Amino acid sequence: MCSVWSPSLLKGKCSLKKSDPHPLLRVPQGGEKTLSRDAFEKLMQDILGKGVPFRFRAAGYSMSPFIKDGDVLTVDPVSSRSPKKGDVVVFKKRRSGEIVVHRIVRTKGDDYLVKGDNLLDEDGRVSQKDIFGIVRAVDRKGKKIRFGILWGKGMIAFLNRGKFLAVFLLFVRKAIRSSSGSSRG
Amino acid sequence: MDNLEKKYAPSGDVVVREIEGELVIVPLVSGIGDIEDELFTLNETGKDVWTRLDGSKTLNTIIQELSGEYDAPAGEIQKDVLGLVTELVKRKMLVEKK
Repeated sequence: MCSVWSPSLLKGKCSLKKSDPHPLLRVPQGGEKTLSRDAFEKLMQDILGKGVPFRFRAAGYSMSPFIKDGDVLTVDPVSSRSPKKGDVVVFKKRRSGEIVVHRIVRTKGDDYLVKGDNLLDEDGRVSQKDIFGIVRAVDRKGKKIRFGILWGKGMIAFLNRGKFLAVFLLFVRKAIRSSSGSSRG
Repeated sequence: MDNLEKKYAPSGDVVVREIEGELVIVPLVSGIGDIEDELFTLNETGKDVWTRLDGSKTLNTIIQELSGEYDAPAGEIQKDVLGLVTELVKRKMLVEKK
């Protein structure tokens, strides 16, 4: 005779936190379970390795405003197509082992130069074998985010590489604010 | 599900990985591995049932094996195994082996 008999199947949730790469697994009873970065990575590899997309909740602000904290990302495996400039990719940082979602701003031979849209510094060179997949959809509160993910990618990569993106976004935000202000007035 | 002579095995459309003693199962619903909305865990006991569902043993055999290992009435083990298998089949994580 061994342990207590109590089989159970629980439905939970899991998300990857970019600042703290230890996703949480939530179960319906309200409990929380820490999923190690290694476990998350293996689960993602298992799924993408089957040639099917992977869907998870991201956390962090390094890709704001195109990807915001809490957005749900759908990632295509790199086996489906090669990443190109402008694509937002999920990759592993060689030095820290951290799993990150950032944008390819330049290709360099077989390597890629990757950078967060909301960051000043690049991540450096990333080789294709460190890239898990390409973000193909962003869901935010039930809405699909297309700008910066499906279209406008090349322009954003260009602005981001030259560090003009922050200025560009400032203009966009100002324009949105003044147009909503004038429509109210 | 009354036929205890049936055999079951994991579906080809699931990703299963043991994480810290629990079994994490992600069914590839509509061809997507969705850990946001479709992630399941089996506890230690549930894992013990799952690992025996390899297509080679009937449910009856599995229940007998578990009855010899757990300090619980055989009727309770049978009820729980059938309940779990029904749930897993309904969620397309398990398929019957002919």
